[in-house]
Amino acid sequence: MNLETDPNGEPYFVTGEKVALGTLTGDMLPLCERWFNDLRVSRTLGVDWRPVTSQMKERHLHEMLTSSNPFFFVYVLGTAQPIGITGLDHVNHEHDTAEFSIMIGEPSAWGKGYGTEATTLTLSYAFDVLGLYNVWLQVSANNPGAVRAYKKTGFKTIGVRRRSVRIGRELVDDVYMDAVTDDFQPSALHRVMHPPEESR
Amino acid sequence: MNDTASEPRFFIRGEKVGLGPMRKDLLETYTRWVNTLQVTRTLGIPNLPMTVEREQGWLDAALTSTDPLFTIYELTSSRPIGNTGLADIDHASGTATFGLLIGETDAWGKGFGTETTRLMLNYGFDVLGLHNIDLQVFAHNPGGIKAYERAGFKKVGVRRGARKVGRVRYDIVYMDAVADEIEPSPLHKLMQTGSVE
Repeated sequence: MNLETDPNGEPYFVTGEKVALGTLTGDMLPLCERWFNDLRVSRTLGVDWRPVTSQMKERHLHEMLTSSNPFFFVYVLGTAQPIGITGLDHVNHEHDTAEFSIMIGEPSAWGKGYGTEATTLTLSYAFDVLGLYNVWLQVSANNPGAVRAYKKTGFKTIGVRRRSVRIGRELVDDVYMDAVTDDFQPSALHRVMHPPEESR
Repeated sequence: MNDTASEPRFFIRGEKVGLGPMRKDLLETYTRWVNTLQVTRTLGIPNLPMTVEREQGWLDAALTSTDPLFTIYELTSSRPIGNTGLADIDHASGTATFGLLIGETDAWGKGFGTETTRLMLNYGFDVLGLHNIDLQVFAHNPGGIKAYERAGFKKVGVRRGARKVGRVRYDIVYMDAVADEIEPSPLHKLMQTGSVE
């Protein structure tokens, strides 16, 4: 495992080739506030597009910081620049399910495969660390880039809830996708959780 | 309007069932329904024993909720047989999520669920002005799926193996219904003209 560290000198939680996932920290509040107040970012997030004050964002960040569900900052390796948030909500160990979400808040970081890799890392975490069976997501049909990225990582389309998301003047379809552990080979994280005999 | 237990006040009336408000005095009936594994196995709630005290907490919230929640009555006997409702109403997107429970097991297989579902779609589209109502049903409840299809729901797709029932994993089936595909009901005329004739 790559032991590169985040801007606070903490080791990343999960490391890939281009990006890493690090534990959330409260000092990123101004950054999160900027991300969520950018309509280019928030238009596809299923939020209600009201201006987000520091206090609202502080409450939201506090909820994520103290949640029992895993959320991470996405960092670009090398520069250690935080570019977004990803995580799993509604983790349910009775049914082994969770809901995936991601936002890349820095438009300058779009189109470089960062979101795709962060999605793969989060799925590996879900299957190989948490032992989940089915991870699903919802994405609006007017975000075809995201749908393509999710397919690339192994998500499959469940179906489409017809014209059920309001985005400005238009009602667009909501696409449901899921990924199941049977379709995924164990990742490097599996070997972290179960090291080979000789290295134990 | 008559509010006695023998003749409940119906908010919406169909041919076989009527829908009325949630009732404080039905606490023990509601509790009995969710203490039946035959009922909870196909519901999205845990298969755990339900005390009257915990059910009271749920009912207190339901009685003051802004979600439209109903008690379902069999019209011939006026006895309460289940609950139904719409949750997560979002007027910006025109959406809500439908839920149904027929708690009296001897009322199954008589078309009550199908008619209730249809009445709730009419309420959602003709009264609330929504245009997409969805639901989740488990693959081990084919009777439910059939009833929802008969009422006008179509399959969105299945979420693979996402529901564990005892030792076995089942798919969750997502379905939706859109206003364009459901003919305006008498509730439409009632809302637009005040007349039911």
